[in-house]
Amino acid sequence: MINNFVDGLMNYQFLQNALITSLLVGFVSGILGAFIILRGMSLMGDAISHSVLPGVAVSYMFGLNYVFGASFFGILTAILIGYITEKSTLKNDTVIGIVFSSFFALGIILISFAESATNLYHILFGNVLAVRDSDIVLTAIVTVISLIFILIFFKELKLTSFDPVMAKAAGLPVKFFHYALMFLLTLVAVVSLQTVGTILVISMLVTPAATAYLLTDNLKIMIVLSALIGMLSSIIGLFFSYSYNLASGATIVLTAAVFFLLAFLFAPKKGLIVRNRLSRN
Amino acid sequence: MKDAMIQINNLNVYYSNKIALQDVNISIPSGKITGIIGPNGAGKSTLMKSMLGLIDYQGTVSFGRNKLEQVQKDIAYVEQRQDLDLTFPINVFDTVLLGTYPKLGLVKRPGKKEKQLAKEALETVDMQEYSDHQISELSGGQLQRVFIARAIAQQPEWFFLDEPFVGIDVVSEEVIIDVLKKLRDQGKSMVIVHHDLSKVTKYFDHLVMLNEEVIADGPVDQVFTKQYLGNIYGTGFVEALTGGVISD
Ligand SMILES: Nc1ncnc2c1ncn2[C@@H]1O[C@H](COP(=O)(O)OP(=O)(O)OP(=O)(O)O)[C@@H](O)[C@H]1O
Ligand SMILES: [Mg+2]
Repeated sequence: MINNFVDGLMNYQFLQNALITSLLVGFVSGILGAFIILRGMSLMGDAISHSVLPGVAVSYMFGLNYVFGASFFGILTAILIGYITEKSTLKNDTVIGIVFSSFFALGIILISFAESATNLYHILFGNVLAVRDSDIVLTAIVTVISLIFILIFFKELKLTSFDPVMAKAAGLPVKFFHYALMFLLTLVAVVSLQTVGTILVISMLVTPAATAYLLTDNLKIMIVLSALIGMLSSIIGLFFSYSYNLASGATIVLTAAVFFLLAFLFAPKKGLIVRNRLSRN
Repeated sequence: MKDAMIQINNLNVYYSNKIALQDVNISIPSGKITGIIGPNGAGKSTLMKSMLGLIDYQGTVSFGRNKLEQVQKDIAYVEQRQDLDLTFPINVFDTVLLGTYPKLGLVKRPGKKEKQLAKEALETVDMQEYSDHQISELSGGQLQRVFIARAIAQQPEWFFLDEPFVGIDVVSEEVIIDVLKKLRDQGKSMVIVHHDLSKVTKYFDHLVMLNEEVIADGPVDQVFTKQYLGNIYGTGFVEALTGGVISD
């Protein structure tokens, strides 16, 4: 079976494309995801990844690359959520629930107007075996931008994630970093459409990062581990998808979930088993 | 350094239509330790946050000839209740090291010098043996000491400390206040919100007495009097609150 997968990789361009894209997506959502979960923005990530749907539809209607419409709606969502939270006394998670379900609903309606090439099922659940060269390029660009951003601003991201009040008092542009991360999140959500689909993007952002979080106490190590687990989930998931003809998004996400479960149980310091043993003694 | 003092004019702060501070006009001298006192809900934290630009306000706040934005790197702030995620993957040393970030500027990484500053600051609050511990493993008082160390590592011109000694044992409090006084003698300035009235004359050079509006402000020996204290806390309690250390 593994031979079969390797053979396929040697012989089929589409499988090579799929592997490269999903590795890139695993990597970039791993490094960004670390900051997303530490800032308590998992729900925000979910919201943005759903809200790009109307953007995809609008792009198809106007014959644009779907990146433009999707990015626009992703950022709009982030701003709208920020604005309503600030101007009302509602809790952030409530506002997120309202905004993203509305955008998602709008997306579903718009998609049904947009004709031909659009396939709602593939947008929702991904179709990594149909990745084109231009998609790979796009994914690579987003990955490089995100990586550079995190390398350059690691210090600022660490401080604003841990203690935004101190950061603000000391004059750091806390809002800038928030929206910069939202922007990158949007880009990642867009390029992940192909690999895992809108509905499951959140898993790639959150699950490997959470797994890494359970395995270490050090932010740098957490980010590296998160990226590795993301990539590993992608390869293994793709293997099962190809071998058993299953939806790639689902197999990748389930692989990541298995890693999480293992860490949840067996992590050296924060795992369930160690903690139980400690509290019994 | 006189021109570096903080000047607050016509400051009003509202929280969703409820007034928290009314018509505050004061100046806070540089190179001194200024205390802010007043009962719960008097607006002490609110005053501090408006000086730091952390909340919206009406009126003006200036740092000498400068606006806040020009001096922010030189301001260290320790919040009253740190609403922080203590499960964040960071240890005590790195937490203190964060204090050195603002002056480093964008992009630059902390190096030898910054690490030395963090180490010394940790020693100041006597927490060096916890250097490698995760912050989730500390007691409330230890954590507070770490945040004070972080402020010290920042090497700011201005310290803004909102009830910094809550939960800290008496010995550590003495050690820290000594450090702050030494920094003051080197020309640094501090604004400290504090509850324990018996320490006012011992800790502070300058005092702002607050209860939604300014009751009195000035050098401690001029404003820390029975009359003003009576105005804020009620005349009956003054003796008990101050432990007798008070001028008429
Ligand atoms: N975020 C907020 N929203 C609404 N009202 C607030 C908010 N923060 C403070 N207040 C109100 O403003 C008033 C002043 O609050 P502040 O926190 O400045 O008091 P304080 O003097 O620091 O009190 P304490 O001694 O308890 O720390 C209080 O009546 C408080 O209820
Ligand atoms: Mg307060």
